[in-house]
Amino acid sequence: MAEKTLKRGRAGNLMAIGGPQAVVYIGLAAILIIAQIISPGYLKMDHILTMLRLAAFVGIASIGQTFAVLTGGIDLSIAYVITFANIVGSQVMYGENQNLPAAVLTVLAVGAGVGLVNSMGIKFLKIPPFIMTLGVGTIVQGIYMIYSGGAPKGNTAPLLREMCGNNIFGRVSGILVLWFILSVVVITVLKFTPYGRKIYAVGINQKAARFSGINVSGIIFSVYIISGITAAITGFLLVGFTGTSYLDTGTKYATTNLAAVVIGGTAITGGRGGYGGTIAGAIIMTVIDDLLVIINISQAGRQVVQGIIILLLVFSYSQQKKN
Amino acid sequence: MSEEILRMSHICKSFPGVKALKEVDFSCKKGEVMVLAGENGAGKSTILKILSGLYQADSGEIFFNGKAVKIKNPLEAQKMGIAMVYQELTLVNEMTVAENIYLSIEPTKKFGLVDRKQIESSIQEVMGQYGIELDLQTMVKDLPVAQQQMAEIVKILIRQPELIILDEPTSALARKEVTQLYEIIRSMISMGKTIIFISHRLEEVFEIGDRVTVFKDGSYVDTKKISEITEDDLIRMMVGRSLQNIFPEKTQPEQEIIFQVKNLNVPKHLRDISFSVRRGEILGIAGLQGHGQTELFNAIYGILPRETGEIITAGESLKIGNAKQAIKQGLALVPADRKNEGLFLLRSIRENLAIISLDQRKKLGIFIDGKKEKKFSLDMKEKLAIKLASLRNEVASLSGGNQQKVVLGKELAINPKVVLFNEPTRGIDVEAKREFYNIMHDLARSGVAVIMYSSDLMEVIGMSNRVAVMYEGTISAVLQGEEITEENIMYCAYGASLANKGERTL
Amino acid sequence: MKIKSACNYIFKDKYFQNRYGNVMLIYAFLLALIVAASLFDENFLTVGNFKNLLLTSFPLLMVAFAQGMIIFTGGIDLSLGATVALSNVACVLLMNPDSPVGFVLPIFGGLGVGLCCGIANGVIISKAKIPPIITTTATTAIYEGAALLLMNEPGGKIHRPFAKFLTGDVFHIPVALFLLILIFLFVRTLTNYTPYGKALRAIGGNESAAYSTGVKVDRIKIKVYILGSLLAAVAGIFLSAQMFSADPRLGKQYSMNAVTASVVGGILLTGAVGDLMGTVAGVFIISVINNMLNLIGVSSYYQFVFQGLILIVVLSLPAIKEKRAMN
Repeated sequence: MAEKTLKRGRAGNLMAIGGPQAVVYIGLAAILIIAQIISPGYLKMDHILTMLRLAAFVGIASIGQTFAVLTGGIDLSIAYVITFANIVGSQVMYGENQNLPAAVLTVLAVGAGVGLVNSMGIKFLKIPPFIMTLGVGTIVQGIYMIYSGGAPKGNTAPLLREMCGNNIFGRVSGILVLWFILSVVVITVLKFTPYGRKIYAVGINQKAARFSGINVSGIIFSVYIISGITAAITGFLLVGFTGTSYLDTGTKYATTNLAAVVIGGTAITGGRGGYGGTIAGAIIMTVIDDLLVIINISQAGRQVVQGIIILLLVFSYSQQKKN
Repeated sequence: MSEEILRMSHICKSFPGVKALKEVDFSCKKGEVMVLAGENGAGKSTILKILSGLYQADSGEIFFNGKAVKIKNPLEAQKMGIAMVYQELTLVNEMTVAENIYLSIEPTKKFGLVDRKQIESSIQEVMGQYGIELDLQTMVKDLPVAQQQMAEIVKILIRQPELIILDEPTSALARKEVTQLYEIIRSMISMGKTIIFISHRLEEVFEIGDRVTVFKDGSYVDTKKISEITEDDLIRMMVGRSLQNIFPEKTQPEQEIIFQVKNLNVPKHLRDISFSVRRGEILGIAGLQGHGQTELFNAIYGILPRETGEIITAGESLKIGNAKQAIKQGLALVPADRKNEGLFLLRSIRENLAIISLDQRKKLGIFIDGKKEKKFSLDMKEKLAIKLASLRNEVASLSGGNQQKVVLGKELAINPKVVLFNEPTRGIDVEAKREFYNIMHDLARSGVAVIMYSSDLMEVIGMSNRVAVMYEGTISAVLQGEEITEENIMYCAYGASLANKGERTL
Repeated sequence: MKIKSACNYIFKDKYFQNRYGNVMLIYAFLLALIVAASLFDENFLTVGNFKNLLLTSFPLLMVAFAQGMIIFTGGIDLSLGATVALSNVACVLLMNPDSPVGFVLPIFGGLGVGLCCGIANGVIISKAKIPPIITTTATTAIYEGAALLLMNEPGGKIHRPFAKFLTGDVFHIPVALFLLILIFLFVRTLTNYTPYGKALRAIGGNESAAYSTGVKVDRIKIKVYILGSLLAAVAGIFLSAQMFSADPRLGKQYSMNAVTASVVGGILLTGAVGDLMGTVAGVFIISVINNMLNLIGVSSYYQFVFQGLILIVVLSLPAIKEKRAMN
């Protein structure tokens, strides 16, 4: 529950700054209470841990999206990178522990590579981020289709399955531990390092950032590379989670990773917000999905509800800003 | 003639952190040219944007032609017969002049198609009436700014409003076009229209106005007949005191040269610029707008790539390829466009102050030292007397003058050897101006090379030990001591050299 | 006569050259591509193949017109594909194959769905001021989900004569061609020669200027999203006839391909600039390339790669040109 305490602390801070990030935690609490009412026993430790483990995938996948959105950009290639990493990871591992290091390195290289291509298009070719990443996403889709021939092979190494299982550290999944560590690192970087400050600066006003001696290109490159890497990590972990790879692994995350960021109160125009909110956003998306499953709503219905919730929350943030 | 067409009373308007208008009254009579005068930030544009429907007043009433009206958007204003030429042009670059002029009021023929022939003939007719020439099929982006301004005016004329608001329409125009604009204004008046004209150029007020209303710091000061006042009266109304005593007394610079620019060339912008600054000296840059002043600063600062040019401080030639290198080597720039180039409006004051000097206050090699940063920003707040509620507030909540101090503060954090001020006092109130002048003066005396460009001539004259006048990307003259007069500067700003001046007047 | 004068109005446009010169270039490229394709494969230059090309391109043409108009305002609609799917499903579900007029309700049903989707997008974007990307990403989830709720896998029954008619010929000319010409004339005239079209572009070029000039920005934006979704609905209805069934998942690629077609057709993503005439070429360029890849026997997976590459290459042209000009 260290994560909870962390959140409380951040929430206090965020409250002082004001803005949507504080609200999102109130929203999260409300949703959890509703969940407990609908399904008594929802807030039991075991179930919470299971939820958080699912949220971890969304959470890790949206680290990069948070960075990209903070600089005023967006990364729509994340879902495709997840699938790509998923397929490549499982193929390279082929169920053997000894292949793990090679698999990790390959997957990270794939993520970084896609991120690099994205950032080159955005910075050098001056293509708007959403369209560049969408285009690169399409290409990545083609590449993994060709690579897998439409039928992905391989499966997880036992060690990775172990880590993604439910009880590596007592009752806590390794994935959750990893998410926690990454969260601490990300929040620290954004809040307490010059690099983090510069990300915000670039997102608020690129021109002023240039006049202030900030290496804008460098920031933008780093952001999309980070985004590629965190998406790739997610895809890789999903091999361990499901045991093998699928052609539509990423599909589910296409909306949720962006939704987690936006619901988490990071302004889509850039420069405001942070990963603290995204964490709550990821949990909210997961809990809602889970709740809808409990009350027997189909995948399609859940999708509809998701869309509506995104719109409502984003709208309520924009109203708040006006007041 | 004396019938009142417009009365605005008790108008209040606030923006985040700023009270732009405080219970302001304003009125004008049918058929007159009412000049609205006042310094930057006095609220002139704000009240007229309320009139044109772009802003909504927080409280107050508007009477137009004797009737109380509510103006919810520009379209309603237009329908009532009120039209405004804004300072920022309202043309769409990617459309032709004709399309822009008739935007939103296009006449149609069958099938609802735009009647281009009628559009062209009626524009030609109006242009003929006022003696304006424009190529209607050119894309607006391909026109020079002065012609864009004319297109904007035709756009207003074609809508046949009763009341026309012109917000500093002459700032982008050369003298010839200004004269033409005056002609247009006179013929509009002769057709029974009423004009509200915003200006802060004295000569303009006296040339074209019938009456003048003065605002100061968001409040109404007075309305006078132009024929009954002198320039001095007007200045006193605008500034609240005479101008002389707001500048600190000039001090004699030393001989030692501390900053030098040699043979600076930027294709299309700057040609063979060389100058130097001595210890204790403030070098003023003057000239008409758009003659390379901003480019000069940006080129020195590494934002604009140079073709050739050496930049020297303390006898050492600097390598500057971008702003980061410039900052590292002790150069600082207060950019002209504070909102777009200087500040991160939606971030906190503290973050803004710290952004350039982040690397100076690290702990453990990678983290920001929060305590040091807090102390630093408090010190800077004290030093520059920034008026603020909390360092954690957004910069956007500050008044113009205090925002500008934050810009300066973030630059001074690196203890610069050279500070380039580009329009340092644009849009800030008199008191803040005075403080700024003192800061600049102190900087110069402490051995920092201070270079300042301002479009406000009085400022350049009041502050500078020497003045370099720019014309078409070159320095056309350097004036010093007694030579620094308004007349001489304007003379050189039009490309003539001072040496010829005597002959010409003779 | 009226049609003739309308045609004259469009094609004897004296500003055509300087304003839409780009369009010429795009058509030249399309022509070159067709020549190349026919040299490559003798089956390419047959009436049958062209008919096939037209039918497969028709839905994308509709969506691309929609996307183009929306891009003129500086916006984007990523939910167009989902709207295609939703109206496709709605249309098929309403079909009554046994009644002679069993196709009338489905058409209105499909269009009705489009109307609703468009109103939702338009109102959220212009009134709630949520950026188009976010709005339409969210509504994509909603429309797609709704389509899946209505029909969880491909299927449904079609009104046979209706499907035959839409995909068949009249006087040896495909009905789709008539429809295309009609709709094209309508949308191009609307965007190029009417006050509405000028307003669209003005909003894309400089929204605040348009507003202070008296353009009813919100209303015009809402209308363009509605019109866009209606066109997507037309695509959905057409697809029901073409596929002889409905598929709740079919829409996905359309939004993206429509952006590619618009961009290839010379429409600038920054708004205001471009001509739907170019979009037609843009769509056919994509279709011809896909067609060629099919004819050569390249796996359809490569089509993803090609499409992404085309998009990026075309979008990088201005930056490359600018760099050249600087050197």
